[in-house]
Amino acid sequence: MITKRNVIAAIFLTLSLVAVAFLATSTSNYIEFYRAIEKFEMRLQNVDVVVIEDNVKVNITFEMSNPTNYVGLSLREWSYLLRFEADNENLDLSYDTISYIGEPITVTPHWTQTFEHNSSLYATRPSTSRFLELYNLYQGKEVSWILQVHAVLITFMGTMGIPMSSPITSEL
Amino acid sequence: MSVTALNTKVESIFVMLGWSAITSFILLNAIYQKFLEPMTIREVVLVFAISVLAGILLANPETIVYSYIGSLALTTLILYVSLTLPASLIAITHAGLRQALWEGAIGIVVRIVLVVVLVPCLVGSIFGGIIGERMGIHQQTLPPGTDKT
Repeated sequence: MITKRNVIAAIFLTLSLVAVAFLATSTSNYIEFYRAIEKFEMRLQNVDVVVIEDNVKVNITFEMSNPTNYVGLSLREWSYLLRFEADNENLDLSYDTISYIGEPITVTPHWTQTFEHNSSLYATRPSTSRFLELYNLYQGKEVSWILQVHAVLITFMGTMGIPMSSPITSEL
Repeated sequence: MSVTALNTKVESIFVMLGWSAITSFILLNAIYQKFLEPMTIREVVLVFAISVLAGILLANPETIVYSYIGSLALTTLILYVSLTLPASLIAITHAGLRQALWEGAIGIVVRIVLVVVLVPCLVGSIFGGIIGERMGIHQQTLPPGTDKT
């Protein structure tokens, strides 16, 4: 028999079942959050250096990825520092900060994005001037690059900074 | 114990389970959106509304009070277990962070239960009980020929 009570009981039962289903889904996503933060990674793919007189043009290509199923991250900003290493010398060559404050990049599950950044450095900077000296010494030889990226992610716990580092060896 | 009394008891247990499941879902959904921010009026209103529904379904003031206590305890348990699951399942590899989550979750759960669950659930369920009484919903649960008094 359809009574007011039965109708309310049916609504209540439906709500309860929907709540349990959503609770299980959202809690499993919440568990993934910690793995996502821990496993968020960056990989340096390429460093290109072009020297024209006292000007050094540096092009870096790297990718950032979220290897987990977590939904709920956005990339607000990243800053990088490119370090040049040859024999016993290392040099902080270029650095910059890129912000997406107005429109953060949505980090979806298993998200991977390639980032490319160009910078133009002049010999007026001591590190660039030293690099030009080393460039002449190591041209055509294998050198190491280390890219340090600090990604700022927007999460449900607030903004979180994730430091990452990736090396690469290439011919100068 | 009569069959009717047993049915009422089983029913109120189911209502209590559903009540705590829905309340936990409302609260955890808000926590999973903004972990450290306080609950908004929206969550209080939703918890109140679901308590009104539960109150309408529960037969009498005594059942409402017992179910309220049960639902409060179960909601607290669901909140704490859900929030600390990443630490319990070792999804967090850092031991210090695991400990911080176990300890931090106590504060979060206590704060939410005190602010959002304790009063709105009680007031909502009593209010629901009164509505149920006014609408004559409780009489519908009594078998034909049973004296209301």
